[in-house]
Amino acid sequence: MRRNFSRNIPVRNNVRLRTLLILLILAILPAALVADEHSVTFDEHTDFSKLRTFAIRNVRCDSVRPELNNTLYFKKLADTIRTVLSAKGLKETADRPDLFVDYRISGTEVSTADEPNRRFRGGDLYIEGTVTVDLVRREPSLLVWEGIYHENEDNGSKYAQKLPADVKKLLRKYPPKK
Amino acid sequence: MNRAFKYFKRGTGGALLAFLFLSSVPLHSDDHNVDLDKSVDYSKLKTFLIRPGRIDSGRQELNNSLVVKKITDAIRASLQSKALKEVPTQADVTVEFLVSGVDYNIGGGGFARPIGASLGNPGPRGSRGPEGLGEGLPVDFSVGTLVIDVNATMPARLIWRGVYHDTEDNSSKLGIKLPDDAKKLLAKYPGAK
Repeated sequence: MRRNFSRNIPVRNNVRLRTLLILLILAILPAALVADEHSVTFDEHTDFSKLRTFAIRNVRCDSVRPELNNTLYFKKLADTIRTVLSAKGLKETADRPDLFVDYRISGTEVSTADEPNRRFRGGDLYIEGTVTVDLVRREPSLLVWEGIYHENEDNGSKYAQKLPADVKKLLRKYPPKK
Repeated sequence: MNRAFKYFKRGTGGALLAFLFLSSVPLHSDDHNVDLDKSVDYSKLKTFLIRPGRIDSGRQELNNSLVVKKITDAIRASLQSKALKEVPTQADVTVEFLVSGVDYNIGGGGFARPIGASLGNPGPRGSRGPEGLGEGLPVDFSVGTLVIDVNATMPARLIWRGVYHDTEDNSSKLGIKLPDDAKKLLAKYPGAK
């Protein structure tokens, strides 16, 4: 029998091992298909190094879920945005800021019946939502940066607990590398 | 080596089967979430007043004065155990709660669908949903949401919110479980800053 001398494993067993690994990957693949995703877009003509001050302006919540749609939660997300931008050297000011920060939250309960390709998720119901952070230049009034994070979680509580971390992940990509 | 490979193969096969099994089993566990205003000094809030609770459900076994009273009593006991005192007027905080319930039917392939948001025919597991909405499906499980809000009175604003999602076989069991859920939520009051 031929052998792989580097590991002293019979070649036939190597083939079996590879087959099992492929099966394992195929089993895990559906879970990977429902993984979170995020994207960042920005205005390439903006010199972000000149934008040094910000103010948190608007929040919009398109969800009726009580753990998301309340002033305490809005404040929690605003604090997260404030912390991350301040750590990047931007200063919060109410008076003529360079940037306005607007953010939106959505979150709805979805049944796997609506999306049969996701039935391997591990439950019948889950929460699908999006958090969007917009940075709008004051003068001229122009959207210069937008981060969008799509999140799926098993329940509303987990979703609410994850969103601040998602906002951090988005703002970690600010300022954009051109 | 062959023996080791056999064990590996069995182990991997078992893990694969377990994964496939677990991924197809519906998971209906309870969950809860608490948010608080970190700028508030909760130690200065010593008195409370409970406003009448609201239950947003057409199910009589959930929407009745007994359930409201039991939840109110659970909230009262929890806050008193934290050295807060109930007063009839001029409380430092007012407490409100809201309960909502939705029934679900598990259809073909294990898919769950809400049926008519708890309106219509009350009954145990297997009872039917509201015909009026054209969804006369059996109720397989019910999800209740309990929201407890603690509002400061001076100035008036929300300073603490607890949300508990409870999944039970039917609305009747939800009515029994909700007072305990209220206790679990308020066990976290005010919470770590």
